[in-house]
Amino acid sequence: MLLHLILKDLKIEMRSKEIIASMFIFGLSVTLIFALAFQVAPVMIHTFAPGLLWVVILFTSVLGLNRLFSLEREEHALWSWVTAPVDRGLVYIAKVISALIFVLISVILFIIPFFIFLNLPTEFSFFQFGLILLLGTGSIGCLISGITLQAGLRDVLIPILLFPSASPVAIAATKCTGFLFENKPLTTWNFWLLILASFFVIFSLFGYLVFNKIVEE
Amino acid sequence: MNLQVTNLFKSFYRSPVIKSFSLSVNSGERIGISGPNGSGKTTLLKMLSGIMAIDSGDIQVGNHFIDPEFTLPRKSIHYLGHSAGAYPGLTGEENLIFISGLYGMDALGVTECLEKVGLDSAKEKQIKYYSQGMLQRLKLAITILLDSDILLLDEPLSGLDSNGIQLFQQLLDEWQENKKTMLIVSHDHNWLSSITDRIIYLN
Repeated sequence: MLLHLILKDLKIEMRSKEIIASMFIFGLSVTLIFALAFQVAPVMIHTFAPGLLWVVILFTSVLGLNRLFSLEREEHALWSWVTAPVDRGLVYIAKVISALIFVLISVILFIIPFFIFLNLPTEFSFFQFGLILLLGTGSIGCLISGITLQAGLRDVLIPILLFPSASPVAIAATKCTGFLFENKPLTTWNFWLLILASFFVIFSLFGYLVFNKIVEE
Repeated sequence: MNLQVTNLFKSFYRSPVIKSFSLSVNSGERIGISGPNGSGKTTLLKMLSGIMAIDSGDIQVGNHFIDPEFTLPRKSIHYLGHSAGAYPGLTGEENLIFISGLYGMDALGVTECLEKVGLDSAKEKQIKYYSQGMLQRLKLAITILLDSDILLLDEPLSGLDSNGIQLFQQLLDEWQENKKTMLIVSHDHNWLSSITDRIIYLN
């Protein structure tokens, strides 16, 4: 069932390419603005790079998640699974996985110009970076997007609710990325990674439990 | 399948729309629901289908109560509403395959359902390009596919041409033969009285 729900999102996105294209173009634009606007010493850029990267990821995620959940509102498509004998929590988990796939694809696309334009070193573990990306994106955004699914002013509500609730995650993800870019051993920054993992688990479970109720009108 | 509604209550922004509504529908019975705009006809059907949360009261389908935590009764009820309840980015056929998967059914009957409602030639077209009448036919195809025991039909003739109306009448006869329980919302009182066993007027 989970695969059935994820494949539906992937099929719609493969056809329209709305989510990934908008996230990539936005991410690239912000990267270019950062690269051209900051005329500071490279060492300063290296210090700020993790924070800048997560600002870009956070903003692009809002754009993508908003669109991902909007698909359910068009023609009230969500009625198809709200009235079906399926665990609605599974729909939430499917959305988290779909969101992760879309965010990861768009990040992979704009992170290359991000490193090139900001002239950043690339000698770090890509596996660990992938893990930080995985834990830092998806679960909170999906929960907020899910909560606002039935709200009239959801375009306004998503940033208002998401940015404050995502700040601990953004801070932890920035710290992890900073240590990773400096090639510090994992043992020195695993505390931040655990915070990130905790938020991921808590928000995923909370979303799974409450989604059943919040999707009803 | 029987449907039992007891003391149903629903309000929007502290303004009650449905107050202490009770209804008992026997298996195979056809009930018409009529009333002015804003009287709560669609709200009632949405609550029965589980799309809308209820403030208080009980809805019993057969031996089971409708509850967000309990998925089983949802299999017995299908709501045909104002919107398609399908994904505009998917084709008619893909939407039916997706919905059949949600109900744990195989996709073997999908083509047959689309043929029955006259959408076989448009089955590979994304439904965002469908006309209003085609969307209404798609909703009918979904209703045929799911074959639920209780059908909640909200303005089922909306957007249908004369052929579509004829098709719907034919389906109504089939559903009556198969002892489907039906709740039909319409503003056309004469039409409702000609096809239902009794009419409930909401005001």
